[in-house]
Amino acid sequence: MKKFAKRGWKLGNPFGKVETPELIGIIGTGRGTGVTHFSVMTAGYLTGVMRMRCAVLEWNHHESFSRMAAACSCEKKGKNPFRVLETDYFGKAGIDTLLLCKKSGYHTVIVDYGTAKEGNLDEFFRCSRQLVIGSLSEWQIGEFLEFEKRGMKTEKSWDSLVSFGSEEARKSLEKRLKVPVRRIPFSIDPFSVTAETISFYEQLF
Amino acid sequence: MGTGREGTVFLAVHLGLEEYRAVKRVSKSFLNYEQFRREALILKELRHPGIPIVYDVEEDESYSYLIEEYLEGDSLYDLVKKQGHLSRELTIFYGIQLASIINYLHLAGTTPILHLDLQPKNLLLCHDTIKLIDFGLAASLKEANKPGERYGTVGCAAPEQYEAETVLDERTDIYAIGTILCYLHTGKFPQMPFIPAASMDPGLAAVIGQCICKEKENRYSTAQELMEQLRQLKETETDAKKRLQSSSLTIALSGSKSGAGTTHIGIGLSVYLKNQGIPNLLEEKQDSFMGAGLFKFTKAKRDSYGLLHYRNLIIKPYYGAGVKLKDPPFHVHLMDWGENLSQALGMAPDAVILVCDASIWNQLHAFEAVEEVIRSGIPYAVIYNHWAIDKKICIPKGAQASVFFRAPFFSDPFTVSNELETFYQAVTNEILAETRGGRRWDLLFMRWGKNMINKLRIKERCLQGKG
Repeated sequence: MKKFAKRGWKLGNPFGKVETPELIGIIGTGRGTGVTHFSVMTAGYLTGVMRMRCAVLEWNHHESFSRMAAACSCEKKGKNPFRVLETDYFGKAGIDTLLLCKKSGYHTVIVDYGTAKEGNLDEFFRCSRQLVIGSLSEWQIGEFLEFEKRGMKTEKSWDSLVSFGSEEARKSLEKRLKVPVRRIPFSIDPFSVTAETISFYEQLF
Repeated sequence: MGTGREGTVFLAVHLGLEEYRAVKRVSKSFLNYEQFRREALILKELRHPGIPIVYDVEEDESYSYLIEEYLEGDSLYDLVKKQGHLSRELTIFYGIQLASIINYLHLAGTTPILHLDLQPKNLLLCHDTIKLIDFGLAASLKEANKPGERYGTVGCAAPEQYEAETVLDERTDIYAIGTILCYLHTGKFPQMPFIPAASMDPGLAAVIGQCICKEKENRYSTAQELMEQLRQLKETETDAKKRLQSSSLTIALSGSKSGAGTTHIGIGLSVYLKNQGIPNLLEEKQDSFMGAGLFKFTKAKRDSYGLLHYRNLIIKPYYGAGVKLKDPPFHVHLMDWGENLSQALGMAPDAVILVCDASIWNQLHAFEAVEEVIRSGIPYAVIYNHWAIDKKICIPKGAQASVFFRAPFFSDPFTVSNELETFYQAVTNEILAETRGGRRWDLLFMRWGKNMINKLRIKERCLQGKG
């Protein structure tokens, strides 16, 4: 793993010397809210548009990255870590991987913490930027509300994002929680960055 | 998106088609629905690239809504406020477009449709195409002259719009075009009597003067006539300019080495061409982080094509392979390849500008790069940076001295001075002269012929060897 990270790729840097990468934590309020999809999308924007060196860490037990690596390399068991479109993906990541990435000259490290129920919340709150993804589908909205209310009690702050559900539900939730709830633009392919995605991230970052 | 005298304009998304729309909302206490519908009905009949499309008209208890095409861009008013007044060529370029829209409007109906509120804030610039918005005061000739209160914008409205008795006609709009031309070229609306500054081009001053005559009879009688007059001002052009305007054109810029100043020269060229009334796009074809850096430090906006708009420049920054964007609507492309000369030549551009560092320790690099460009057979110019006047430059055999240029020193490439204008004019004349375009095909044909003869010779030798 060390060998891979050291090899790196062309490091031109308009943002000055990289001392410590920005750590972006992404967590879902339940299963199937699209955390991995969103992590890949975010990395696509930061590398493809902002031209940053970016790593994505899978800090959960879903093993999506292993399947992604296999699909990308056309082998039964893919490599770990692996690279897609200039972004480095680290499956089965933990504290060691994070420390390695911090020393490897990345501008941004995105951590996919899976769901809030997996016991990664403390790690998530240590990130410099925290993004919570919920779903407003009728059978998932309860988990989202519960998470947001718990956050209000503990006076924690993060950016709330939703992928599914109606626009009316999103607006009424904003009124109820008194915090902005952004809608993630619909994207069929998370590796493709479109004009709509760019516009969304320009507002988010 | 904005608020005006009549109401508010919102940006909306059509959920089914996933497309933006501009929704104009006007309170019924200000204008009844039937009056509001009049604007929609006027627009409905019009089909011109410079006029927004109307999709629908709706109402509820309190408001009327006009659903129009969403146009992305700054108004001419904002453009001048941000960048200062425009060059003669750019003023004429926009003036011709404006006169064309108004000419269409005047001829579109059975009786002429008058806009009656032409002003820089009602003209949007969408990738160098002028779009006319806000038809709130527009009316047919007959309706415009009905008794009642008259409105207009101070500084742009014709004298007859201030009087209830005087007849309004096509020449009322022509007056406003004159004031807009004056505003674009000088940054100010004309004062009466109109006395142009001594530095103003006499031809353009005469056109403006005739548009804004107090007496209608002394103005141009039609927008067509005004358009022809503006076109005549544009006629005094070189072969290079004609080529830049006629069809699509790609100019590759490459440096003999990293840091030779290719981007600096590229930005200057893009700004120069734009000032000459030639819209163009500077594309970053190598990952130099110019686009990302510009976005980070200047907060320049990205549009739906992913283009960055900063001052008077439009740049397409380098994007990773995963970024999928629409092709931007430009005919002239300037491609900044950085030090990747081979890639630049491999894309077979219409012309190449090679930027070299004339420092003694970089001359060998430069010499080799010039040789590579000559071998390609593509029309070219070589620009040397850091070239002291008394110093000699070594040029390869077969190269004409006329294609070598010394770049003047300019710290801000976004501002093109007179010296710089002369420099860029000479460079573009050299690479885009019509004869050179012909020569390129001759060269390609000659190269193809030579290759074929060589192949035949090799084949012959092989056959002889075998025998």
